[in-house]
Amino acid sequence: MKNTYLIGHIALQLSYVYDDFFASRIVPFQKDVIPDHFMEVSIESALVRPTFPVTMTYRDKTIYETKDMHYIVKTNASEAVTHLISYTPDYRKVTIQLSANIGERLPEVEYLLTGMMFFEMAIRRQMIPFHASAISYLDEAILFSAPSQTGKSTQADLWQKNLSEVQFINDDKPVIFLDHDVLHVSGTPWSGKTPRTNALVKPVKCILFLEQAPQNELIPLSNQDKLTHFFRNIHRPREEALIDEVLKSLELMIREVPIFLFQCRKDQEAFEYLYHALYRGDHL
Amino acid sequence: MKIKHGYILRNVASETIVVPTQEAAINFNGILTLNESGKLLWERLSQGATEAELLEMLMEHYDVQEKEAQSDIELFLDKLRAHHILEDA
Repeated sequence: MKNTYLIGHIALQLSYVYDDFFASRIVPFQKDVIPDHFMEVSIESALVRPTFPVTMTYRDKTIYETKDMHYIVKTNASEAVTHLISYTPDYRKVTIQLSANIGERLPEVEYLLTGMMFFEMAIRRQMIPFHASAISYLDEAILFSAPSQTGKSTQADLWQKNLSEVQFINDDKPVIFLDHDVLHVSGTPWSGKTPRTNALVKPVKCILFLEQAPQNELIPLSNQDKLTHFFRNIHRPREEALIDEVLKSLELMIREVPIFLFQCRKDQEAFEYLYHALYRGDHL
Repeated sequence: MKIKHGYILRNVASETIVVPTQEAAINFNGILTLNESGKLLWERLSQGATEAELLEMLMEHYDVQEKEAQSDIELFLDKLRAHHILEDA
């Protein structure tokens, strides 16, 4: 499947193999645009390591970098290459070669690796991938962020069940970015376990970092705590220049966007508490 | 002892934070937030320093008892060691 997609402000030409994960997630992003980023996936019977000197190794991955191309090689326990990713240093062109030996996990691996590489593209275009469930209500976005299993989707679900106007923007990894100094969120085709994502871009009303608790409470956060929560939940770059870009954006977000710790239950009371706080000014 | 290569000190939203970069970011997926004395200690450790030199520096900058300064330094160094941020100079 080869098509062009508009995701946030990235015009991506993506050629992928399996529809298992993409079919229900990528169609809303399909758009007739001139691509400025390219990604292609192929399945290979045999993969060979590059012959250049190794730049860096970590865990089961080896990185090779030349002036024009970078490579990530992943091997299995028998040292056989399971995938080889080649990309230009600016991440504009990415090729993902998967070993056929991966077998039945090929669709999932394809989905995860295309997501990983898209997030690297995004961060270079000043969009920060954010681990959150993002919903749209009254033309604004509410973002529930937390580590996995905390209940992001549960809170988003409660809002959708109670308010028919609520739409999912993305249930796992939207991208956030500043547009004329206003924080916006966009859906992406990578939405974790659920296919709940849409090609929506909305200004952000507030960000809620979640913690499970027996009683609901919205707690103001210090700037220090906001930064700690952000860094736990963003896809962060490793390059110093890109980190500085992200920090510049975070500084503005911290100043302009209401950000709270929401200690919450996983039931109707949590929705009611938060709804009254955000739209009637209670509890704040 | 010395701060390992790959950590950058930045001021964001009136807070001082340390962010790992490159290979350091693979091993430490978080940030450190520093108070004023933590920032001083970090800057000194970036160039390499002994515990005695750190103690002398804190005593020069703050009106603090030696025992208290020593305890602050130990806590700070423990935090850095826990994240494998220190190396021998």
